[in-house]
Amino acid sequence: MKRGERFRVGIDVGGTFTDLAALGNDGQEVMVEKVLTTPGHPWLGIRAGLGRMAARGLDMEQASGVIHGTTLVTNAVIERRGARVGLICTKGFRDVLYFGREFRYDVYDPDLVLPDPLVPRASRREVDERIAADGTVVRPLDTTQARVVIRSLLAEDVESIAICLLHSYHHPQHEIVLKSLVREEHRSIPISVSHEVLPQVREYERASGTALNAYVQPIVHEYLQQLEDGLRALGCRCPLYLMTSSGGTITVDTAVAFPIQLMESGPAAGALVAALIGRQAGHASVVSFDMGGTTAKSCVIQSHRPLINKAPEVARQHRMKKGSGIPVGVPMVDLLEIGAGGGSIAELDPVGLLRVGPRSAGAEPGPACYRLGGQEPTVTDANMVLGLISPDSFLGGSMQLDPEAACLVLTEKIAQPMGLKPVEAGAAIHRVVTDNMAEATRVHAAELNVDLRSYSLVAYGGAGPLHAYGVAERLGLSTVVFPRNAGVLSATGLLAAPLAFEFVRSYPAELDAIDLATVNALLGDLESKARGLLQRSGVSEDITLERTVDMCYSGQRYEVATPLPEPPLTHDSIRALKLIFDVTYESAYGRRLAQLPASCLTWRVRGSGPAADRWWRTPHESAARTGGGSAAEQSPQRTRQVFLPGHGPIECRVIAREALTVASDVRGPSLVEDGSSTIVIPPRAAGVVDPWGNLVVELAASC
Amino acid sequence: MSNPRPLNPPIDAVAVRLMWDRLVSIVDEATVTQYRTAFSTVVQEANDFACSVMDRRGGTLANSRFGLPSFVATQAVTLRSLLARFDAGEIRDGDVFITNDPWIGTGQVMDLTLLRPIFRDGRLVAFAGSVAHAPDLGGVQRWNTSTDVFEEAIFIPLMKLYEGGSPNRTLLDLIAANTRIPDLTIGDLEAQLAAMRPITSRLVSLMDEYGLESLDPLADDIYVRSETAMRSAIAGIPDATYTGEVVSDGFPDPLDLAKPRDPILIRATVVVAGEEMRVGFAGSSTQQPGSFNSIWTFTEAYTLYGLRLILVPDLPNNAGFYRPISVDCPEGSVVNARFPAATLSRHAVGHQVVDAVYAALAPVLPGAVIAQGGSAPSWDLILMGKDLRGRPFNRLVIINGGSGARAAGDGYTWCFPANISNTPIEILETSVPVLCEEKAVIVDSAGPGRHRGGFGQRISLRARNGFGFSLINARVGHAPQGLLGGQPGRRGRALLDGQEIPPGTDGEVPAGHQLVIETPGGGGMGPVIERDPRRTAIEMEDGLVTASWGSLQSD
Repeated sequence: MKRGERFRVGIDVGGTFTDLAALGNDGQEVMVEKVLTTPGHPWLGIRAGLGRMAARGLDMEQASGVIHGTTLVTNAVIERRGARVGLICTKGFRDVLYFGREFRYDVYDPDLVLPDPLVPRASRREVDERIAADGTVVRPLDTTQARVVIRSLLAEDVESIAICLLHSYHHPQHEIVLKSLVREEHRSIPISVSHEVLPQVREYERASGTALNAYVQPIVHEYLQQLEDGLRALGCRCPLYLMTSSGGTITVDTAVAFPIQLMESGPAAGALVAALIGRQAGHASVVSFDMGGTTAKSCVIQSHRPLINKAPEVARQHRMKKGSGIPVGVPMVDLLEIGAGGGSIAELDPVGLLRVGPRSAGAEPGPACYRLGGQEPTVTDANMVLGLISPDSFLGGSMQLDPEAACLVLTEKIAQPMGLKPVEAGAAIHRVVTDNMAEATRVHAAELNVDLRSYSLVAYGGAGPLHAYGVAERLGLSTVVFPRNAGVLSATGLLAAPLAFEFVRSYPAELDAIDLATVNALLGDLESKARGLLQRSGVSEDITLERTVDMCYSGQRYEVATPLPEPPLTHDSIRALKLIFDVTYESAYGRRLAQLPASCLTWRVRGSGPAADRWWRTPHESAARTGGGSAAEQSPQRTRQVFLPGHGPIECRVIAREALTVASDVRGPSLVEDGSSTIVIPPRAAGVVDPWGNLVVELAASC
Repeated sequence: MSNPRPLNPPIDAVAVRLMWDRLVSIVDEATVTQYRTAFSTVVQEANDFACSVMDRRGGTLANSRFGLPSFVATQAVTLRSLLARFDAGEIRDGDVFITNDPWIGTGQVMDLTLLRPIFRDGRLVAFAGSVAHAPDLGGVQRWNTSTDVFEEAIFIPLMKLYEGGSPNRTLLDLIAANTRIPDLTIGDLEAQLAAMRPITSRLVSLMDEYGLESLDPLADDIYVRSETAMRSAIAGIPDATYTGEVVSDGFPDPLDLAKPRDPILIRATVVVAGEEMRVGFAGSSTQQPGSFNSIWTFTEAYTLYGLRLILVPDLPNNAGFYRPISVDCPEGSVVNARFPAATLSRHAVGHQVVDAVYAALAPVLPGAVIAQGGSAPSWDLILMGKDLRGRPFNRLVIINGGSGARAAGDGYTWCFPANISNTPIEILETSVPVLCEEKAVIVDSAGPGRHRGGFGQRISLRARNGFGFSLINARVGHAPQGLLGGQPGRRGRALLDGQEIPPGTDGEVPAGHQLVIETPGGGGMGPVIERDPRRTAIEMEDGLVTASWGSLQSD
């Protein structure tokens, strides 16, 4: 990159690796780096990565923005490393966090376990106050008693205060007074107030989100302070932004006040980049498929935007079982855990059938072929036995794998008991894991009411490209896109996100009983908050505002995000809103129920700056310079005999990804090795490298 | 029913795995569709529904993993009844059958069972099923005072709701005309239909893909594998006859509310012989007046669910598990009322049959059984009246007690053996004119033991407008018992303005007055002396138990 050129940096700190990407503001990719994450002190890893980039000529003084994604917040909750929280709630309701939803999330498991509440009962205190659903003050807040409660919590050395009163999502006056009382009693203790953190109806979910926010606040505050100081010490003078779980960006101030919004910050960036890759390949709607060592995740991206999960959970007791975790409350990019990863263990279940996962060999001891002591066959061992993974191409050749060890455990634990040959056992494991991922994706799509058949798959992660063709076939998808630089996708995704802030508030009301003055004041307030924050973050023009309200037919539980007419709302626009909702509902559920009354619940205003991905619309100069041609012509012919599940024994061409240039075409059966994974291109499929370096494969191209 | 026999030709075990997983996923898809498109809070907040896929002979192949265990089992009962009543020629592509007949269904007239035959190339291959608790089907609304099933709801015998793809307008109009809230009732019915729709196409494409002419060989393979697992679990129990009892509260006679109530006895006799098991309920109380009797379909459903849960947990459910077990429910007894008994409160007895079975097996399966819980029966509160805007409402709320402890750990506050979530207070207060003044753990209510029961809870409701209520509850005079040395949980009670009201009360709460519900705590497991003192110390610090807990209730 040329001297003096301005650029932005994306930094993604994951569990194992810290990925960094710098992108010139003219849209040309300049530099990517990957270093090991330094658990406990993530800044050290970041500094090492930035140091390497500086050595390659990056001048941090020229940075115009740093965007950061991190798994710090989720990990703090999973590992229970958060603050000692004092929770203040309405008299009679200190046990809301204990009860949860009182639901057995799997009726065939007798040993279900729920996570312990983040705030122990002794630190949950009641204040004498009560506001009814309609706003009637049944009991005014007893400020004298409240002060006693606050002082007693402070005397017990709590490090963070959470406040959640009944019906405060729409009637916050008592919470506002309580917050000021806490501030009077203590100058600096962090305070999380439910109507600010998560102004949504349903007391358990709101209390849970507010407690979570308070729980991680001190850790996040300290960490971000350190990060800002460190960046400044490196000469960086630009603002630092954080990626939110819903795929927007926020300032450090906002992140410190509402750290709960950072819960799935890193993975959200991955989903955004999948959306971007889809855009480059000309596909507005794609399914991302990210399969790594321990899990596989997918996300549905509709019209360039990842779908949002409005009821996400963290720290599940059972990874794939909904209801076993702590509700977060704030919307997150809807990343679904769809199954096992490369390290997942294959075994025979009590009825003698093959089962893959949920047990995992993890990174240590890892699959048997790592020769680190793994004694059980994993998905990676199966792929090894099938010949899909080359022993000397793993991690760019830095780690030699042992096919003999893989074959041995596979034979002993699976093939012999089932009366299969080792390759048949390998193929069975490969198919079971592939089928299960595809089925989980399909069920999830049904839940979202999305028909996937016109979607494309964007596949990445260490094991994703190996299983992508099977997942796509199962789901009836015809195109699979394999991005370039898949290893640092999340970091580049950080740079693709526009600056965006969403403000929400619940005002539950039947449509015919809405108070126009109330709702207009509410929308005006949300809008000025969104504009104000964008302006403070440096966006003064090109602000896009989207106003929606979550609606349902009165009596239903599932709400549909419905776009609002231009404010101010009038009686006419309320009538129009009913029609808009009827149509929106019909497109989601396939039937219109115009005769039924409708209700509104949560009102949202999202303000965003100019889409950052305009920088990405031009193809990469470096990639565009070289011409196309058939990959087979350009490199000496290498082949490998493999057993391809669904196709049987077959000879595949083996191609190095770096040998592919723009417009190169690749025909199946081929294996494309790129240092971090192997792309399987089955027979009859054909791929071509697009101008951005992505390999776009059509599965039934030549039939 | 066919006997288990080796398959010819045997299906490849890998294909069985793939197809079985797919069947489970097909039902999951139907379940989320029904949940997503339903209207009533009974389905959406409380999960009072279930879906399944059954083979063409009436066996359950796969079903929802959450929701109500009883609904899964009774769908197959309804299907077998359908197969007995209709000739093969009368079951056609595009038909959907419907019934709420308690004696061939869920045991309660408020539940609608829908069955849809699935055809491939003109041949019947399977059935899709869906059961949901309807928001309203007419009838008394009060659950404690009905004297026969005809007072309780419109009675729909097993008949066609759709014929060859066309709706039966007459029947739909009749149902709509017999409910107070036709929009919600018909809306939920449509959600049931929507749930079954994808099952058909997905099942046919599964068969296409694997070249299956019939699902029967696959079904048989799954059943034999599951049956084998259950047989080996039963074989691990010493051959003998085991008996267990539950003594529980008597219920009101609707024709004579002042009549003294005798306690109800549920007696389970479990005969283990080799790999097979027979469960009988002979010796249980005779049929009670009113709606407080289970019906054999419901009794059998929970007996089998309770056994499967502790003998072969975790595996996907199907009919094979139940082949080595038979259940005998004497007609005219409290576990199997005769037509046309009232049915609305059938779970008040039916939820307790599991406890009798566990009591029988506790001496030989101490590591597996579960102590009695405060949600057997589930405490159902039906609220009715006019809201603050003057419109009528009728709302079913489940208030859960503490579940029983087991060898593996403490109980929770949730529903067992049914599974129904709570209703958020903020949602309740938005639609019903009540003010909830408290929803709290009842301190010391958990039955002490090596593992304690779950805690009961107290909910206080103050009427903003006057409202009527029906409360279906028990374990008031007879607290949930512990097992193997564990102590009982605290009994439950309900109070109207501070005065205790008996189980099964229908009443009124005038504006400004207060109804308090205190659900029972779950029974403990094992002697409390063996409890980890660190756990007790933490819970004392948290104020969940006091210093006297564990010694108080031992006498």
